[in-house]
Amino acid sequence: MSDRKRENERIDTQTLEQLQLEQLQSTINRAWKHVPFYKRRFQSHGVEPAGLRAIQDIAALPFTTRQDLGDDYPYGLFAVPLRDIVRISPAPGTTAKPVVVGFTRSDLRVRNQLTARFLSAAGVGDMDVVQICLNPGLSNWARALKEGAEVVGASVMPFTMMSTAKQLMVMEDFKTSVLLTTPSYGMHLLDTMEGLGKSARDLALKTVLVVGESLKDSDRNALEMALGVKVFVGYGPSDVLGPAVAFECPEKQGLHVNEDHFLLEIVDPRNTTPLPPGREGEIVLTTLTARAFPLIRFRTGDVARILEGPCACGRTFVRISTVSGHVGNILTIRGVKTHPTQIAQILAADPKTASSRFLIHLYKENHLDMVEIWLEMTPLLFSDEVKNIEQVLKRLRKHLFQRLGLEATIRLVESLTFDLEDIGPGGVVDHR
Amino acid sequence: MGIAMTIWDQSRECMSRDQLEQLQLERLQATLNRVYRNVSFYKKTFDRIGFDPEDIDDLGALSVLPFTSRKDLAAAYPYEMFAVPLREVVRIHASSGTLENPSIVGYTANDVRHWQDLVARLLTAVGVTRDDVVQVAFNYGLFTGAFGLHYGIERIGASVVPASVGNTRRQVSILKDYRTTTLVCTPGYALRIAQVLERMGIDPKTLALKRGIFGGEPWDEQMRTAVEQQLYIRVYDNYGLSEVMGPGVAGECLNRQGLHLAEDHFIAEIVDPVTGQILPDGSTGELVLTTITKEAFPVIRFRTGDLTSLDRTACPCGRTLARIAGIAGRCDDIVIVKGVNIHPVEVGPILREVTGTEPAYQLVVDRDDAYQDRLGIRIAVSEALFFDKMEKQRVMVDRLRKKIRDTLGVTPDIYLVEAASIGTDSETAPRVVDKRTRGKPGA
Amino acid sequence: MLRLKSIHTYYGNIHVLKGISLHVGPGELVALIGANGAGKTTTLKTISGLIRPTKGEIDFVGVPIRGMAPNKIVRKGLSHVPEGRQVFAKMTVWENLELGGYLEKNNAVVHEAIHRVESLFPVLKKRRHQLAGTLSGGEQQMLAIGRALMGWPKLLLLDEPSLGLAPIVAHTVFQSIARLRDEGMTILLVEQNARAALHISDRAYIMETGRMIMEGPSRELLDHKQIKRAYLGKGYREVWESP
Repeated sequence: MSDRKRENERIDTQTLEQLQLEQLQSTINRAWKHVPFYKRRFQSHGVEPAGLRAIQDIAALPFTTRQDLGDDYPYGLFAVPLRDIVRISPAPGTTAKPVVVGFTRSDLRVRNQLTARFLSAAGVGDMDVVQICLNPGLSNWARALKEGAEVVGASVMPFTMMSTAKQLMVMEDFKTSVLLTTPSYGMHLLDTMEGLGKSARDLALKTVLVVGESLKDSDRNALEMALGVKVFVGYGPSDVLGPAVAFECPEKQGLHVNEDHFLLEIVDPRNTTPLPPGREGEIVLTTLTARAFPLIRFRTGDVARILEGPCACGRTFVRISTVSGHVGNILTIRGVKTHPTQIAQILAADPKTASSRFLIHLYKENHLDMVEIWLEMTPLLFSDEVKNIEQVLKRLRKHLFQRLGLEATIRLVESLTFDLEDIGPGGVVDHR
Repeated sequence: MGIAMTIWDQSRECMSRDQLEQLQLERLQATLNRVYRNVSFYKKTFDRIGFDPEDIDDLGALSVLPFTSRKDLAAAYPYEMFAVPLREVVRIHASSGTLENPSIVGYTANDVRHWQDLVARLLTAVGVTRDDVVQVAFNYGLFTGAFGLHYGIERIGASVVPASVGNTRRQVSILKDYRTTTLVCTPGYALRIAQVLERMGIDPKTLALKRGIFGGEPWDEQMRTAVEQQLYIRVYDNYGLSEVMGPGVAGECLNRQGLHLAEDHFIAEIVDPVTGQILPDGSTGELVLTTITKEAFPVIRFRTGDLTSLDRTACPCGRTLARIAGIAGRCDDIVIVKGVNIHPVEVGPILREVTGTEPAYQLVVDRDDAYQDRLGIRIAVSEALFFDKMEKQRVMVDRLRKKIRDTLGVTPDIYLVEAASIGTDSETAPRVVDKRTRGKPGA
Repeated sequence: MLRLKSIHTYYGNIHVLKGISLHVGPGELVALIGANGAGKTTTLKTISGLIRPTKGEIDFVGVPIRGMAPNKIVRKGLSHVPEGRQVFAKMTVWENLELGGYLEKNNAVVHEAIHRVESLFPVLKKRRHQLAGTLSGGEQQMLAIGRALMGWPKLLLLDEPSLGLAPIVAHTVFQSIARLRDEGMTILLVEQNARAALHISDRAYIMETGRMIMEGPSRELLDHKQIKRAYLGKGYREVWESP
């Protein structure tokens, strides 16, 4: 069975389409039968599983959005009974309700195999020592990457929260050869190394794999030059799927989508009409093999285009460009996806700031995404004792971090500021 | 089905002594052959005493070998203690609570598999099945606790919720919404959860929670009772340490008369912590463990520093594996605070870095009303530490607190005290004063 | 069933077995794997009494057998099939089997035993009246095993049953061994073909230069990277190893 999986990466188009159709049909059947949400949704669109006769018929099915994922919290979207679930991953989600993703044993196995594909395409093997530096908001991915690295036989350190200097110390001492991180953290690492007077020679790094954010060509060059490494990109929507839905091969001509497990569509974000290859649009994914948590026509919010033509590496899976942007209001901060309303909710939940207006400013500092929340000073919040106000801000920061994985600074501003800004309260100013 | 349901691996957990000792001997011989060939530290130690692995003709002969200490492991940093090349290693964990002086432990794919099975044993022994939802409230990271338990839970097919630590309100929401049946954390944290439940107005009786499986810090019967009464659950003890494997070394069964030790993977000895003499069954002494299946990171006669006793009599549960008593305390300088191992000597260099001198100091470990561990550091005031301005002193203390937190992983309370109240002679003044109760569980 | 505790064996001055411990439980098929010269055959010969160990204990069905004469050990129910397919070439298959039952005086019992062996190895029934020397290598091996089975021993020691056989023939031999185990026979198997041995056995020991270096369930060892490299050939490839 494992040999067949390797062959899959070079599967011919006809066989792939047959495989996809079979898997799609059974996914739709399972979702219809076991997930009330999908049944309701299909019925309200007047579609039923039997109508799906070809892959193209998927266009008749309704989309699933991030808003939908919080429905029937916590276990409502599971397509298998709880006793078949071996892992439940709480994710902050991007709406009021957290998203709870479940995995069966086979789901985990598939995810680990796909991660292993990504890693081995980048040349990671049993001679490597792998270190993972991801934002705590991506801890589900940190586990996924760790397990994938174990599958290819590398020595893996599970992710640990440490200062960058300490990460570097570990990297040096443990003779790390492969770093798994986000592009911005990679750049931040470069700066820290410079500050500490360290160079690539102090490290044993060979390969850097980045996930979570799109990688600018200039950053790729900077990382490759300064560290003397090869950089590879993996893609997945961090809130619901693994880090290796698509991955770069050594040709570095786009990312191969694991089409034996996901069905890819690119649609126009405005009217959701499917777009032909070459046209940029929103990535829509349908899981083909997920048992516990199937997703049907999930709108990722990520923008990319399909690259046409075969790849020199011999893999037959379709390629997409690196993600060039996002649609909708989802913010991607250090790889973690957040919706501004989630920040609003945390502020509203605190009695001292319930009536305060706010603005979210995003900027880069030392290559890292920074969040600054401009918070309106109100009589409710005001106190003669600075200490009291500080306490409120500390509390908010803590909640933002624990609930959303965001490390934010909070700046108190006069009410006037809001009247001067073009953007309404609760809005986002992205200086990145 | 009765017994089969509560015993994960009957063929091993219920072996006759005779069979078990044969298996132990076979595995010990193979382990000694491997370490002698592959680990230079053991080759040197064995050669020094003129020992050849072929000299081990029975289990008793193990006692001729020298002990392995934490210091030996740290000296081998990073990879010198590994008995296999790095390419065989799939997982790396750090053993100590700090990264200043860590030792690195590695696991081969087989080690990881055994680890999962041993954790599956201890979970099964307290009734966890695939129908359970298990919430792991340990920190996922370089230390072994969370991951070790996590994969054991997946092994038996229960649903694991990797809740990690922090934000107790969120833990409580998960506990309630996800219908968690089994809570895995430190006993202190369970009491904290009980407090937050009360504050949130949630009646623990309305939860699906049935049991708690606790470890990671010293605790006693009083705490067990407190958790059981406050959360309306049954509570079980388990024991493990990173140097030897992680959680899964020993665990209680439903009878709760000591922790069954996985003797088919570890050979246990109880020794006098001062003389190193082997003590008879039943007497309390330092637990010494030898791994007999570990491939990547075997340890021979490792001094755990944990005080306990050994009971080889039959247990009504049907398991024949010997039981150790709940850990009664430690006999070395390490203190475990909030699950983090702290060597008191690590504080000195931090003091020097921040203050420019190294004043006399003492660690005081205590528990607050909510059973949370607290670390206090008493520092003798000297000329160098005396500031005219309170403000300056406050800044220094703040820096110290932050630096210690960053280095040791626990935020301390800093007390500046008269030098005389500590004493500067380490012979007479203990480096650590542990005021936590250390009653013996099960006693 | 069988238990060795810290066995030391010498050939003259050469220390061949350096403290070997192993056990075989009732109904188990245990494989002993190692390179040439590791001491596998010596271990079998030591068990069946052909070589005397200098130190250590050997228990068979709870009785110490160290130092006992080989024929006494056979009478206790331990049967050793040495390597090299030792059959009497000038005798027929039937005669070879009859000879295997020499301990039994009652002819009816012997014939019943032959039928039992023939049902295990149907090919022997087909060749019943052929001279053993005219059999193929695989058939001779089955005959050798069949002869050892005549007394229906409690424990069967098999030394390199696949040696010198074509892969496809070796495969049938291994299948027969697996079937024997399924019939309840307890077997200690010495093999150079580690992959096949691990596939059919329950547990295995890995031997190197007279010492045991590993013990475990066979399916675990099959997965073991070091063992794969050392004994299963380097040709294996994993799924993700890039093309």
